[in-house]
Amino acid sequence: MALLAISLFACEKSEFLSEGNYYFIRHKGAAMPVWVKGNLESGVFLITVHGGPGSSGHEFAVTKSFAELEKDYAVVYWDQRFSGLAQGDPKKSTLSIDQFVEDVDVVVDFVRQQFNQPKLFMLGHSWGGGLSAAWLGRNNNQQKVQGWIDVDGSVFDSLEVQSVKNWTLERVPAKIAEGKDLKFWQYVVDWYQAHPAPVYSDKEPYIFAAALDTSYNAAALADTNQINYGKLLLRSPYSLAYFTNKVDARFADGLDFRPELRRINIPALVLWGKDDPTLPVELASFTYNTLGTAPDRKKKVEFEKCGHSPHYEQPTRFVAVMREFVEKWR
Amino acid sequence: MKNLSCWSTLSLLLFLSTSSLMAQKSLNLGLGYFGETATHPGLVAQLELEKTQSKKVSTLFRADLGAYVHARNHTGVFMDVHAGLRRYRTSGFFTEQYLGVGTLLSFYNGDGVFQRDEAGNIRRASAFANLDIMPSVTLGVGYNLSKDSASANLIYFRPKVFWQLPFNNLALPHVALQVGFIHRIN
Repeated sequence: MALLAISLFACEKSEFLSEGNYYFIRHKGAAMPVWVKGNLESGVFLITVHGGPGSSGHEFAVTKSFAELEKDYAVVYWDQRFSGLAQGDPKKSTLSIDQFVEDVDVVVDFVRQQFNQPKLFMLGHSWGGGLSAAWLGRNNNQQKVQGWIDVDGSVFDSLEVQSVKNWTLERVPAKIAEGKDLKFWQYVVDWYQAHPAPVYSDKEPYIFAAALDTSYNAAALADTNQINYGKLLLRSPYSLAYFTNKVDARFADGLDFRPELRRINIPALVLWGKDDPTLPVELASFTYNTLGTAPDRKKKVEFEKCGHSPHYEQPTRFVAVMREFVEKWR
Repeated sequence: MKNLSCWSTLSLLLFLSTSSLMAQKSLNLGLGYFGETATHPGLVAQLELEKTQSKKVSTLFRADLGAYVHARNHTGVFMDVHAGLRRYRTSGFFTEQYLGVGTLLSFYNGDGVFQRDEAGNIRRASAFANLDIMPSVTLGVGYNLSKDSASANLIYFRPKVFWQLPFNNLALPHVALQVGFIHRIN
């Protein structure tokens, strides 16, 4: 019976195994999966650069917003080295910003060659926002791309950790006044006193901020972005690597992509959740103002009732502004 | 690491085979479905040396050769050896547990593998991924269809956890389900 049940499930069609093309790019010890799907005939390819470091590009692929964007454009989902479903056994020494930037370059060259020089847009989320900015702002790489979309991107470590600290400590007194979880909130205050200058790889600031994230409604978002977890687990590229792959983020401590950001002059769209606890919304203006793109070629959109991931939390509005931007600059 | 993996597997296989052959006990052959994460299909063939310790308990040394396909992830070909115990019940059911070690050859499974050459051109690359060490823990339940240990025909259901290492500087755990048939050949 068990064998029969397994056989029946194994024969069921799965979109995770049938949609688009699935490649691996080998580079300096890593084998990075690259999933290209959607409207390939459009000639417009959106290359996603995921966050973390250490998250997965496959996370975009299971959101409502990217399913919608795939109707109009081809979308490229890839996992960075040591991240998501990436395979191989690269040396630890390849954990460097320069190496990640080089990996972006290889992925872009692959897409350009494999799909006959399509029009490219690049979208980076969180760490991926900074990484994509770093690639665009070096070696005139931006000439390969029609436009850049920065989604709650991280570009300047020391400013961001202070911003998160301020965002958190402004809200903690109200929590203490509520009288709930007093030990935890006092711990938050004490931790910041003991760590006045946190760094990018410190996990505590993000845990504290997430505990204050009132706009994030996990149940409602799961309902919006429905995922067939049965298929995902048993009939997809997913493996336990998604959970076991780890990136030691200390290599990114002190990251400062302001020089690259200033060199970017292609059309740009800066998207941000107004309630983002991880990279507070004031950073949207910092990125927008630092960006070298002329004012008439860049736009900033802040999403109401939205935290760190507009593509996940506000799919309808996210898709609308994305379509508007891509159609204008394709 | 790869050499170490090969030598450790072959040495253990040789040791276990020799020690069991000296015991002059039964030799079993098996064939089964091997599903990595249950539904990534494969096959496993096994050669089992069974030494009866009592009417209900036997020790086993088993060599497995198998392969499976995890679409859009990897294809695995493995050879591993196991040492373990089997406990027979009077009802015909049995339980078993094993520790194992072996080697796993993996190949990237997708629509193509590419790399950038030194001249900066993107070219197709080998799908061969790694030759990794594969330790494992296996549990099993089954039924002796003949209920007669002298002419054993067994069916089994074996969950197995195995690790692929090194993998991104760590070990990647895999879960597999095996369902199959064992026949005593002497």
